[in-house]
Amino acid sequence: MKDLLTPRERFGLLVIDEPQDRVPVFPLVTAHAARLAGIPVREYYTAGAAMARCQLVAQETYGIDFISFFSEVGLVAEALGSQFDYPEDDLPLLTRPKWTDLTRLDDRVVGPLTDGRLRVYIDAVTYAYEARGDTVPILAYVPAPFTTAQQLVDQEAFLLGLLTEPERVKELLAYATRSIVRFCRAIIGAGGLPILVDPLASGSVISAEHYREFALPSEAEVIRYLHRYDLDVVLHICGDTRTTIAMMPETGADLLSIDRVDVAGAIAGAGQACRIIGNYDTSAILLSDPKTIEREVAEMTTAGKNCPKGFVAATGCEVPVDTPPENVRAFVRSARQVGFNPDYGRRRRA
Amino acid sequence: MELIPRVTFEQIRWERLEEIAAERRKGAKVIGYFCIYAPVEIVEAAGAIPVRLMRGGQAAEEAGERYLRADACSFCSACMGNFDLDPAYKQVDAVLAVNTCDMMRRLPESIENHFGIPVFQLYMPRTSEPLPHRVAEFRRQLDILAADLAGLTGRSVSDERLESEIAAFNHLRAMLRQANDTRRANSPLLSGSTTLDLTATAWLLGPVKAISLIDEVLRMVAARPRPETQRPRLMLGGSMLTEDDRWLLDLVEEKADIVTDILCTGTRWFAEDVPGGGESGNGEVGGQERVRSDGNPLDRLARFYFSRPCMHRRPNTDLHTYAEELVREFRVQGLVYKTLLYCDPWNFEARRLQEALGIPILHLDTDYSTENREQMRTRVEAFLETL
Amino acid sequence: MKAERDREIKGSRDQVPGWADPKSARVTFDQWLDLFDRVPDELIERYHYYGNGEAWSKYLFPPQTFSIYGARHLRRLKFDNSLAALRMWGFVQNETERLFRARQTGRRVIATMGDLGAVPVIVNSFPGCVAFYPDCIWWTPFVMESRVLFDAAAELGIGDATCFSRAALGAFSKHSYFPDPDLVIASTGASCDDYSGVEQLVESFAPDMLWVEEPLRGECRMSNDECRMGGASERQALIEFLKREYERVVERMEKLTGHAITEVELREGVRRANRVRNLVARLRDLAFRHAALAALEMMVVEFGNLHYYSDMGEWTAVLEHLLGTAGGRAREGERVLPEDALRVVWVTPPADPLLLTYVEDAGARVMGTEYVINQALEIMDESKPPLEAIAESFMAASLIGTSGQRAKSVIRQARERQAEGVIISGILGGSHCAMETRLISDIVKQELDLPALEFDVAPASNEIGRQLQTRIDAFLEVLRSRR
Repeated sequence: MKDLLTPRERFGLLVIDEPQDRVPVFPLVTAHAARLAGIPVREYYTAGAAMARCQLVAQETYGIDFISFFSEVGLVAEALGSQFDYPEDDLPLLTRPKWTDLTRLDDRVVGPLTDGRLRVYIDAVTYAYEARGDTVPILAYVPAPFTTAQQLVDQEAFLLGLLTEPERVKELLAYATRSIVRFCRAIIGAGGLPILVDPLASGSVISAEHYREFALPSEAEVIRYLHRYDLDVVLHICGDTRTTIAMMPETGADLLSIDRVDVAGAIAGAGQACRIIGNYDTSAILLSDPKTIEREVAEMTTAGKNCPKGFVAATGCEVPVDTPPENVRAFVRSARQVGFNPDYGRRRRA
Repeated sequence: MELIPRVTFEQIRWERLEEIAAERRKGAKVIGYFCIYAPVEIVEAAGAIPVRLMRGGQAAEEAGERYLRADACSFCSACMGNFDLDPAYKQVDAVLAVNTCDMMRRLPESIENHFGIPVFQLYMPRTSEPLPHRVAEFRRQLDILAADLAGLTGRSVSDERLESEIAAFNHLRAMLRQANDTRRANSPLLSGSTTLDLTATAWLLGPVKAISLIDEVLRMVAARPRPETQRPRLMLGGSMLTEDDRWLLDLVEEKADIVTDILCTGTRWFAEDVPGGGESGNGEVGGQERVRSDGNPLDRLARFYFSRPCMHRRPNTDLHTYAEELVREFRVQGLVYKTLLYCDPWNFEARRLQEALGIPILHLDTDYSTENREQMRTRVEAFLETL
Repeated sequence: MKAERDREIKGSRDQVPGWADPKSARVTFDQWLDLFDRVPDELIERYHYYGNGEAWSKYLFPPQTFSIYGARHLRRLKFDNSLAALRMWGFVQNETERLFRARQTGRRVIATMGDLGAVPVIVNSFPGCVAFYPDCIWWTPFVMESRVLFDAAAELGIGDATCFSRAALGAFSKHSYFPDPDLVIASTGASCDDYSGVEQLVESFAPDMLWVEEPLRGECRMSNDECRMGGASERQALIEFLKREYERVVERMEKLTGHAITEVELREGVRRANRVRNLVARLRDLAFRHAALAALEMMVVEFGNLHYYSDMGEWTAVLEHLLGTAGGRAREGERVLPEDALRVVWVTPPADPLLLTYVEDAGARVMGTEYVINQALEIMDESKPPLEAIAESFMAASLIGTSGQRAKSVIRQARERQAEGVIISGILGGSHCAMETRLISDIVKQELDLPALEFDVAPASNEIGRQLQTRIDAFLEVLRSRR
């Protein structure tokens, strides 16, 4: 079925609270794009043009409604001095955080074109924007302060610090925020829409109380910055957010990308204030068969369409690298079909 | 074998042009016009000679290109070229232009600028709903035109003269309708090509002589047996179709019959009569007059011309309705739709017309160049195969 | 007797708390990102449209914002570096959302097409109604560097050999560039064929459509001593005709809204529209005489006279802000373009705004315009009954008369401001361009003995084509050589 709208037109309606021709579809294809394009994953996340080309191929192949750039959550931490290994055909691995404890900070702020692999994202955004920015929104994942902090400091020390040194944690969060904002600014300059990703703030890692005290304010700070540009901010927290979903709108986020919280629950907790993005299980997309995927995505999309602010049919987190392409196609096919809006374009009067 | 050889029409037209030249030498004025909205009755009533300017042709188009841009429509370019080349055009003392499309509205400016020929620009509302103030404005424009023509010829336009010309042109219209009606039959003897020639010649001759000619043609049609074979029945539509487009009609009529048209150089001029004073003209619809028949001759002319359908009118529902009626009445199986490059009013409507009529359409969009005729031939033949 | 322009509009360079304009200049897209860092949050919170306090009604955002949402061409342009200009750009770029929000907040949205300036004066006089011109969507493919709307028009049978205004047809078919209008008022007549063709096809998307006639404004007749242009009775006849057309607009609007409009309300509508027109007249003067604003901003300003970018009140405030800035610059002798820039009059608005940036970067400045919207610049006579005042102002319309008449406006401006050349931009396949560009060019060259450059704007791209650059450069060299 041929679309009436381009992905950009569709997204444009979603974020101004207008019905669309169908639900936007967004399996979070990240490094899987490298596999689809047949290039080593390392090349994908170390060369901006390669990253962009892979995403363009994926968007075209699957008919996804967004182009998005993501490799791993340590991106900003790396630019600030944490060390990562780059396996040939796998994502970067943190080998040594910058600090072992919370005692020291410096006054460093990242240079988006010079530090770490930030430039890869900027180049990827620039490339994709010129290639297809008129028809497809270009998104770039930006690790949030709370997640970044856990890549800057030994994670155990950090988590302990939530209890024993809260003020130092907050200073570290402020330190990370300064660089994250600088990185966001560069993405904005390149034509990309930053998505804030904060998986280490999920209920799988911290309590709801710690989320409210530490992660939420730091997410809100970045979102406030992005709102200076009137950008529609996606906050992605994969993992278990059942206890925090009702708080997440307080960050100011415009769209919430969810994982291990059922769609109905997410809508009940946050659907009056935020559009919901999600949340097909990533193991299922990897391991299931197309027919099962179609059925389950249909159920998910049917539930998601009830969201008052709007819904994007997505996976809960990244599509695993080795996901069979026919599984991703099944996801997209089902979401498009069930998400079709037969009333779109029928005359509506005031 | 054509009912009437083309050369016969050419001879008739040549003789008429000689006559016109002689009348000019005695002081008569020739008014060139392009359009079915030009009220020829008023031109005649003022004692001038209306000559429809409807030539195209590659040579003329190329000659005209030095005056206009490449994306000016071919008819406009050819018109400018013909003022340099064509004997009929060179006899024109003034041009009567009606604002139909952008190009035809601005063509007169170019004519005036480059050839010094004065222009009467007649304003016809584009909107087709015949609201009283719109018809009244057009009526006022006709008053001004009559005065302007009188100023040129020295002969004022009286009601009596107008009634006489209305009757004469109505008679001509009726005769052309009669000729055209013979094409309702299977395998009509009167081809599209001959009809185009006949209509063009009729305009040049003027009512009295044209009526004689058509009478003769009708006798020939009655006398000759019609062929047994049945061929696809087609309608012609599109931008201004000129005498120089005959090659297309000849091409199509090798294997099909063009039985009707929605052209401005075809049936739309003679489909209805100007209502006579106190009498209803033809054009009754369901017992009701389509165009009111009361009022003085200029009133009736205003209402009549205002109501002519054309693709440039807004909305152009009337033209679509007219086309649909013709498809039914003449049992049309396909539409050959020839547009000129950059002709917006007709090009914009091709898809919509096809959807409305529900018959196959061959849309040819071209200029007067002869280079692509083989391509056109292939397309025409392929189209006819599908019918 | 026409109403006099408001000579009391002086404008002052308002001191906006938390902001001081840098020295006036045209800056790049990237430079605006730096400048925007200095804009305090309080200023972003300050400006809202529709008098609304919601977050969605803010609009002071930089070009980067809109570029992220697809306005790729902004990255190539140069912008005025004042806060007033930033405000203007944010307001204008925000219009798609604003139209949807209009419907969401209970306003009626009326698409006015074709006449470019008169009908919205009537529509905006009705409470709770917003008029807009889908015609202005002809810029969208260029702003987005995209064929999407042209492809949508092609699906409906309208291909590339027609004016870029076919983008409006594409937009109607998408339902995503503006809400489906409550009413479409389509003006046609002595106007533009391409757009008339678009209007006819739009009818299938707009069950409620009102056709309005634009009459032909004739030239002096050969045998009639009373010249049509100057002849009072001829002119009055057409004004009376237009009044009847506008009465139909009023009737239809009353039926739509259930509101019986009063003469007082219509007069107020005329007065408000005049306020905008007077502000723009003053801005044109400051821009053209003093180079207080550049051509790109001025094109946006002039086109605001059509439908005020869907919020007349806020647009008026934007203009007042701009006037304060421009007036201050003129008083202090600050210019955005050099004193020795070559002076050109520009005929027909370029569909690609990058052309204005290019010409200015190449050392010229636009100090006169004939942007086919004369009727929208004309100050209405407030001493007359409102529909008559509107009709009378429409008699100045650019396209309802001859090309010679348009050329006269160009010649007048060129003489007044000592232009050194004339640029005429057209569109290949545009119906009136096909005849007019040559006619106007010939007349201008003859009357003024000035070089005239005619060219067709190429389809949407991220740069000006090399060939056209060369032609423009060569043209400007000729102008320089004549100094």
